[in-house]
Amino acid sequence: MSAADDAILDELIIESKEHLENIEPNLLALEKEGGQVSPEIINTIFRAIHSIKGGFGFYGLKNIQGLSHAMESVLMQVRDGKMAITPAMTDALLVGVDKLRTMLDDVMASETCSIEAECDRLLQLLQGGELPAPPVAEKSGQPVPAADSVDRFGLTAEQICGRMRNGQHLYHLAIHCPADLGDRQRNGAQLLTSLAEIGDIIAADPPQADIAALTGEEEQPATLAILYATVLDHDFLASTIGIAGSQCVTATITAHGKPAQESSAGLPPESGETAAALRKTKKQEKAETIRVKVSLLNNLMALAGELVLGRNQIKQALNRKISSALASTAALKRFEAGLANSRKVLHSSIQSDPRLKDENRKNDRLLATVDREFGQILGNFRYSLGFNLIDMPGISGLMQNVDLVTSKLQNNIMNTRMQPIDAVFSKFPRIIRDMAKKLGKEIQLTVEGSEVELDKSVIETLGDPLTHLIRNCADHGIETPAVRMSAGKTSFGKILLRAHHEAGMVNIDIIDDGAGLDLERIVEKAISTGCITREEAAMLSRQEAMALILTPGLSTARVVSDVSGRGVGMDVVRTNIEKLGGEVVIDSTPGKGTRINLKLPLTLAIIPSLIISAGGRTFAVPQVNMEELVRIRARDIDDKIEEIQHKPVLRLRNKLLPLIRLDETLGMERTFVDSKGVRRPDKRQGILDRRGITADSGEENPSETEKELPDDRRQVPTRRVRSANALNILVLKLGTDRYGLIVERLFDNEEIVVKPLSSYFSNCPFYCGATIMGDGRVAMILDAAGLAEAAGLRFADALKKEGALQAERYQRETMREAQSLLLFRNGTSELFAVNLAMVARIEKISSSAIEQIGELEYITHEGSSMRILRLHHFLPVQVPAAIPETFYVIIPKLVTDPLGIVASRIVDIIATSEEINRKTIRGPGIIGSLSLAEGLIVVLNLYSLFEAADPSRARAEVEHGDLRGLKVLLAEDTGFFRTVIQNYLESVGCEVAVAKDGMEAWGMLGQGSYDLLVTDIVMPGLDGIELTERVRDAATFRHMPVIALTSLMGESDRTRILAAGVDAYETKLDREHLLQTIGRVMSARSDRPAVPAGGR
Amino acid sequence: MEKQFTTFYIDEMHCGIDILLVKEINRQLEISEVAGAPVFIRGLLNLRGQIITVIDIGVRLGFAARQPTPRSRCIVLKTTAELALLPQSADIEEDTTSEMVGLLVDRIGDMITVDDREIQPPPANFANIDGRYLSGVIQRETDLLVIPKIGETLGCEKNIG
Repeated sequence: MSAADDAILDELIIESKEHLENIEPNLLALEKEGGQVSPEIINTIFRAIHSIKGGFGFYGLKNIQGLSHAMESVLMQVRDGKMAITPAMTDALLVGVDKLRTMLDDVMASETCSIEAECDRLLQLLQGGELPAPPVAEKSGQPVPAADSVDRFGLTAEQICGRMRNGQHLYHLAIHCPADLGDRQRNGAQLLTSLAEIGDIIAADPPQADIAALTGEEEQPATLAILYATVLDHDFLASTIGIAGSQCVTATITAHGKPAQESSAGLPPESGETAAALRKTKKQEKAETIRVKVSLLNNLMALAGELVLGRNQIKQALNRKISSALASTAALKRFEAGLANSRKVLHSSIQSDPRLKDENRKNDRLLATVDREFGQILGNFRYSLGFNLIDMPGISGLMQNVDLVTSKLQNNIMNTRMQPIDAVFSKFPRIIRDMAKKLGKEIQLTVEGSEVELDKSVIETLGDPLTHLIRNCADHGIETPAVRMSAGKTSFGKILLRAHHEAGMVNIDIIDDGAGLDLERIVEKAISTGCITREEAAMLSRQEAMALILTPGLSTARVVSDVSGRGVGMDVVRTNIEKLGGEVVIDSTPGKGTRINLKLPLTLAIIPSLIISAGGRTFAVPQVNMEELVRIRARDIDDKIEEIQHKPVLRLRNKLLPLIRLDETLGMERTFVDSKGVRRPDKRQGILDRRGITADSGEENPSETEKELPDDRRQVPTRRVRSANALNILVLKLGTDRYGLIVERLFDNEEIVVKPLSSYFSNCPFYCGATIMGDGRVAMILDAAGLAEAAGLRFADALKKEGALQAERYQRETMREAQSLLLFRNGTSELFAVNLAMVARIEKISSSAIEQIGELEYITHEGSSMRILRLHHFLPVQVPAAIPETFYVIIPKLVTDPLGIVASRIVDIIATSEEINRKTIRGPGIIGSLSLAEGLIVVLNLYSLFEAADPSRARAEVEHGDLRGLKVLLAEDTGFFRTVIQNYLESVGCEVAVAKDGMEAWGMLGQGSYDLLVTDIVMPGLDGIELTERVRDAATFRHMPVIALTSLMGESDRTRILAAGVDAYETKLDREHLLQTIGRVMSARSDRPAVPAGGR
Repeated sequence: MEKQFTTFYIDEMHCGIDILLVKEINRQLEISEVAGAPVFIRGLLNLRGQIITVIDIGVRLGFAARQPTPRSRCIVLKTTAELALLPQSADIEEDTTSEMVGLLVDRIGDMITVDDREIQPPPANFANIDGRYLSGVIQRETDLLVIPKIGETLGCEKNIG
């Protein structure tokens, strides 16, 4: 096969693949439509299959031709209304499409594979069809009108096409006389009328007038030849006119412009130029496109990048030129003024010179000479400056124009790489359909935003992860119809696949209304596979627990199906998405469904990055990896940075952030720039090392600059105090992990063009590419994951596993985090606080959204109405002067029927371990006050606040029975919780004794008598579990009821807690539940006082 | 058969490479060094919007790293794809790489035409250069022209270290 043939074949393959892409959705659409088959769709499919058949038939690729022929036959039956679309048919056709696709992938091998199974399936359809498929080919054996008979009409292709209407077929009819006229009780005129009713007579021989005159009984002319155009199909036409099928022959128009005819079993009419002519109108509807090689686009992109670079350099040069010209002009002006001044002085001195008084003429001559000389000096000066003064009129306007065009050009070229995400989305209806069938589920897939465009490379990488997610959704997410019905849902599950733009990223949501994620099972599985330890599991937030399914080797599918559930995949999804610079967020409500959100950059080729430097070299850090920037002043380094096993960590909002130095990680010599701007090696061992540079000067041959160092030493005892020694830390994120990267300097944010990295750098994991900076130099793009790897950061280990010290520290950290306070104002100077753990969300509301009913105010929140309250209505606080137009509503959680709290401004979120002062500020709705740097803060007690606002709530307390007089020992090491829980308990009349940790509680137990022990689990020294165990082992109070408190929402530690012998456990801040639990435990105990619940 | 060589100097050693391998010779030497890269990688160079990897061929041949001087040049080589397009591609014995690579040299010498029969196999352990990086030497009236094996010196797959 020649090269030219190869090229044509390649083209044909590409085209055919496109056809197949179109066929699939159309087939699915057909199936959906069921009975009412749209001829438009059928024709589209038919044409597509047909052109595949025709094309490959030409190349003699019999398998492709054969299979497409079989498919075409079935479609023909459907098109002609002889068969109805059935699921079995769609299946068979889809299987055919798949097979064709496989064969197209390797055309040369297509001849060796078997198409028998697919063809058989199609044939069976044909044989089992409602109407036996009229094997058109059989008729070819019967007499056919002579091949040249069409010629006798003497018409050109244009004339024929001109008389035909779109969608019509061209037939050559041979009507025999008198068999088809007189014998059938009709005359010529009647025949013409019936023909005219169902189509158009293009030409007739003899002419129509003569035919109309026939009575039908004549022997001559023996045959009437009619060129006839109609939408009817061959067999239908024959039976309608009442002639034999063989008398009606499909005609085509030859390239010479004369109608040619062919056997009805041969190629259908639309082939060659006729097809082109007939489909002309169709083609024009499509947007004009041409195929361009990707490499060409890449070249264009590189050139555009270069152009941008050139533009930037010209701009810089021009700016320099302009500013120097301005300076010259100013200099010239000053010179002119000076010269004029000198001239004036000279003139006056000449005029006033007594020696020249009488000689007027000499005087004038002298003055003229001075003027001339001065004029010459000015002229010379002007000339010498001349080159610098040349004004280029309109140059800045031109520059602006070039600037704009260049940017537009770059954008447009970038857009050429953009493709609608439909390229990926379009395959999902099929996948879902097949899976639903296989799994016996009913699934309705809705696709939105398939027109959203993404870079080609992103789309290519997106296919696999998205497919995996969609399959997961159908497999694990959506339940079987029976399960769904029993859960009160519709029998069919819904999956919404949606793409939309948001904040410069493309968001893809996959939302289902299925079973949701079973968090407990995920956590259990993670523990059993060793991904995390039980202790770590207890610390997990809901979000973190859900993110566990993205870790390798974790699949919660109960049955490993061939569809999914092998535990590979979700981690691959995450890896792929993160490789694209995107992120995966999972949110799930048990029983309601799951929402997976992917955020992706529009393009990989240009990414927003922060430009930084270290060791004098410039680097780019992609913004997607960046969480925040932290600058630590030299004098704060001691407070904020600690070392754990010689590794520096930063205390950032009470979380420990491991730190690495960029220069060190890259294996560069550690340097710093001294006060004189000279870069010198840094000899300190760690960030916390106090040694100043001066300490080293003795070890080296003191150079010129180093000799001066002792001066520095006197002025600056440790050089860390200088502002230049502040630490710039980039907080980088890797999934849920964070680390700090210490860099030397921070520059601008820039959109950089990513260039792939040469394979020479394959052993440098810390780079993910290179880019060309505005100044033309090359800078490396840092890879957050690679850096962490190169620095040997092990996130889980660094903070959790390395020794008891760190474990304790970590526990302290997480507990502290739990007592973060949300600070807000109520339109006055007073500061209020609620525990952040009790805040569900904060809504921004405009005052017009408030609805007033009686004296109460309501807003609509999440579809239902919620009462809101203003603090000054219920607390003894200042009344705000005016109600702002927009304000915030704090929506609490852990409260039944929460009320929204109005705030004029959200001030901050602070973390504090300060004890709440319960004496200074007291009252219903208030726990106490805190005196912090921010000022005096009123800490709210939401429960009593709500009771004050809604007195009917107080009555609900009856549920937990009468707890008055109950002696409770509360062991809790965190001051904040201690105060809050004590407050809860005292509010219902308990007598509360508090212990600051397990040991203290143990001691107090021995001294006093208590009805109930309420203990925190995580405490330093003796923790809640050990305390409970001691209580259960003790002779005297082994039957004392124990209620454990956890600050965690997860309940995975439940078994361990229960095993220790507690009666119940409760979440720390949930007052209602705590009191109910106490009530329940106490009443159970009073029924059977001697039996310890649980026990060991 | 006659062959043309572009010659250059590494320290005082006179080297030559088949002129067909050379794409251009560049005097712009704003090379950005890359921390953590193999030692024979000098850095990256922006060649009209394309980033090319600059290799210190001296380091490969056992010399110290080049110190850039005003006479330093970067010999940009053709890629394998570009070589394949040449009409003489069948005659080229050397191989380059699939990516854009430049050689950092101390200065450029004359263009030299020699008959390929004059090329002799390199003497064992010649000038302490690893034999696998040498293709041959040419004895000339004034000096010895060393022909490095470009494919081997570039070999990025095997020799990263």
